[in-house]
Amino acid sequence: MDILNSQILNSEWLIKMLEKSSPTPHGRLLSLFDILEDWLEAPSIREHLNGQFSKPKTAKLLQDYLSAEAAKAGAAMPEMLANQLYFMAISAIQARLQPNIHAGAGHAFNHAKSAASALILAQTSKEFYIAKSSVYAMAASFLGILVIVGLMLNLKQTQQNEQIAELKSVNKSILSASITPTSTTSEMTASPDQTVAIMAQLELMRHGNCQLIEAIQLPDSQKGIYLNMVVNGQVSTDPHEQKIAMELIKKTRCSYTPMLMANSKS
Amino acid sequence: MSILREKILITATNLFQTQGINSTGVDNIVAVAGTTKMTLYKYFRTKEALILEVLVKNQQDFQTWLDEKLSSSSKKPSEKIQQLFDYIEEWVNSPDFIGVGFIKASAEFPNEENPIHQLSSQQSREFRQYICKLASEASIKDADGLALQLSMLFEGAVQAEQMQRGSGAVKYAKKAAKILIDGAIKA
Repeated sequence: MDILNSQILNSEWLIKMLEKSSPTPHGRLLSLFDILEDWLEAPSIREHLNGQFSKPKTAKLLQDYLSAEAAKAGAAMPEMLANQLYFMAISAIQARLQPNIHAGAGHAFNHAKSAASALILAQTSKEFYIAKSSVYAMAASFLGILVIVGLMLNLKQTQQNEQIAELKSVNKSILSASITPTSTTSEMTASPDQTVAIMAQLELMRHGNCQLIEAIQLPDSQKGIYLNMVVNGQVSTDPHEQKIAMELIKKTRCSYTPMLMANSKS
Repeated sequence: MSILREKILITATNLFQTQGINSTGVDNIVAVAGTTKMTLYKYFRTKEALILEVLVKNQQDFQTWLDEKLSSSSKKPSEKIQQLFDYIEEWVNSPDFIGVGFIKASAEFPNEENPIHQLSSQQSREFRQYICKLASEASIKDADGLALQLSMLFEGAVQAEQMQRGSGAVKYAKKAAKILIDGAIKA
């Protein structure tokens, strides 16, 4: 790598690296942050930049590439998403170079990546209605679940407690996990975009009228995961648990017809 | 404050945002403001002093407006941080919006030694701390991390918006912010 300055953003090298980084357009968009972080970690680059990275006048090559990938990923406004990601990448580089000025800057790229995942999700998810009355319906079903959980905990207290304790410790690690370099944790923790995808799905469900699965019907191996992730909304970063949670979410039947609209007499 | 001084400040603010800070000359400013160079230099020692004052005023105006909005809101702290992007959207979409001074200035003055660069990064940092304060009040554990994420979203959206006026970049940033805030509250 001999690209030493802001030209990195308009380099053929960066496009080549992005192209081979992931099989999906979504993955390639997010790889921008990993590739730039790796590039910046090289001591020769750090030394050369000496704490300064100025925004290049243009980076048409990169912006066009990101725009095309954003379109493939199904973004509502690909060019705009590309521009936003591009500016966020510059912010991440600048923040990372000034760790004394920016709190949390040591993990600037991971934070940028989390923000980018959320932004991609915001552009690719379908619009949904928000029905206030569905919150009450949700609260009612939630209470129902809690009663069932209470009974279940009495029946299988020891086993269940162990599971829940274990899961709680996993949940606690979500924040720290999301700011650990992905290169070292990719096997153990799910990628931020998967985590964000689950969170968004749960968020969507909060706005719908959902018939949740009764936890008592689930096999023991899934019960804890279901209660923590789907019912309590505490998303763990374990990829295996996320997979199970996603499958359980798919089984949940939800109606997103606005209740207010359905109830109105006019 | 003298009316003429005020006029020069407003004119400079507009010209800096629309045609760039470096490419706006003092001659240009006095011509549009309908005054003379001598008057301008009476109020502002140098062009740099004028730029610094424009930046300070821009940020004060925005911050005061935002403070008023948030303090008059009756919402809980956890909802206030959600509201932040509603207000940012309202501000960006208002017809008077011409950009964010510190974002523009830091791009035009990349040299760290430059007082204009220093002021703009200080303002960017202060805004991030403001978000961090809102996050802490909402009992979010990694308030610094969330503040960094949200300020990146904010700055990215404003810059994208400046490239394509009316593109609705802030609308999507707002949706993304909600996802991030919800995730941080639950963590």
